[in-house]
Amino acid sequence: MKGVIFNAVEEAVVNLYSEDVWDDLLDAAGVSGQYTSLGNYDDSELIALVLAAVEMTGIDANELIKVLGRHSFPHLAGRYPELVEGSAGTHDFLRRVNDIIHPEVLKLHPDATPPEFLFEDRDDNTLRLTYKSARKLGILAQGLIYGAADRFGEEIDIEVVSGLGEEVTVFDIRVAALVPGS
Amino acid sequence: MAISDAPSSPEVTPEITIARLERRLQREREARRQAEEISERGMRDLWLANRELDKRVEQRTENLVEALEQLRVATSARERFLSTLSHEMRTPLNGVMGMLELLGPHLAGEQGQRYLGAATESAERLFQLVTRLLDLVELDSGSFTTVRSTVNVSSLADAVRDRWQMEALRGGYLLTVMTHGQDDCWIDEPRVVQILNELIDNTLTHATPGAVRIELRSYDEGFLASVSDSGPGIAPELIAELLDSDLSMVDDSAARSAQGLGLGLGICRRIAEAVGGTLELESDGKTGSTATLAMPTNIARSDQPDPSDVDSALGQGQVASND
Repeated sequence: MKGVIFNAVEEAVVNLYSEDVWDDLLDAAGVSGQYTSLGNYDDSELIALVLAAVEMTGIDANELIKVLGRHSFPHLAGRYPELVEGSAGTHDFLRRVNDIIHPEVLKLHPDATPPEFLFEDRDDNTLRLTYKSARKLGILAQGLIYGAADRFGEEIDIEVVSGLGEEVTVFDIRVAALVPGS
Repeated sequence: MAISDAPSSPEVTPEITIARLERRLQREREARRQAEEISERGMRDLWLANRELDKRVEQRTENLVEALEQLRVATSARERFLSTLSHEMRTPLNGVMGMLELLGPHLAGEQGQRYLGAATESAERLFQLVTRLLDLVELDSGSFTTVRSTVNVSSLADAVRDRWQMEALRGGYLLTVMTHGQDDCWIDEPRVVQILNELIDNTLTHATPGAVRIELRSYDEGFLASVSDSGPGIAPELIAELLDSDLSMVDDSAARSAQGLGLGLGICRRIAEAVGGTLELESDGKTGSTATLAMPTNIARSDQPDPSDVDSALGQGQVASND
């Protein structure tokens, strides 16, 4: 797992809670916490952090990952603004992930293994997205997609069609309406 | 003022220390973020540079392939032209030679016959050169074909003897043709005869008068034909040059330097290899030289001759031990 994901989760935790909570999570999870965007870290460290957070907050793991994903998006967008700018909205942005964003990630980190996305239009407002990754982190992707919608000022509804927690997860992402005032 | 005299803050409260540490931490975080950014930018630039290089390599490779193709087209056009030319030249030459032959009985007087003889010889030389040119073109273009058949060795020896005995005697050479081994051999007869004629012609043209020994040997393993003379021989360092020189027909500087001995030898070697055999030249540089054409049988029966197999299948020593 790329260090930048850990950085983004750290920022989410700090924004939602505090730096102290992040320190406590690192201690509880027994991980070093020395994450740089240039590094690669074992997936198990992220799992350990989530489990520690579940323990600490009592929130359901899937719900927690979703929330962390959602609040991680601003960090990623801030880090690589050129990848987010120019997208018309959540659907448009998601379509670029496979073709532009993940290839860009691979330029920086040839050893990265980003997930693969497949797309299918369900109707004018609904995009079916199939997530494929050995990491089985479709739920994190779901959270990040909520974060993307926040960024584009859209209200979306994500229905898990199948395979949550599996290597292949299918979502139907429906853009409901623009958030008023954004 | 000395540095050690710098005033330290009179009252350092824990709040001040914490605030200072926080600023320090903030600086460190910012520095790390910047370092990561710089590093990622570097990696990105490197990636872009690599892609640019890849593109350039691809472009140049494309250009080279294109140039190669153009060259190939030009070469093949040249080969076609040369091939047509040599074919076309043979027709009128045949006419000239036929007419010279018919002219013989009609020419009275020794002088006339001498002129006719010289004209005929020149025409034959020209015909030989045109044939070599055609062979060379076919060898270069890979369109050289070979067909083998069972040939009686004695008949072959007779044909060689008939063709060369008188001419040899006229030049002061004593030509002997000997056969060994089996009655029949499995060879591309026109090509073997062509090479033999070339070797003998070379010898009669360039060796000092003396004995010329031709030996034809047929074994299970293959066929060997050798032409030996008792002339001054060839300097060992020239042998490879003579056998490698394809250009001896066009630019015979190598041949000239060896008193013309190499004329056509390079083509002979290439023809020998094209029909699945080898041609070797041996000389100690003092007394005589021997050219040996080897045509392995086992290679001949399979349709794709491999020169490396030829060497191992029919080394000189191996055959000599059977002799």
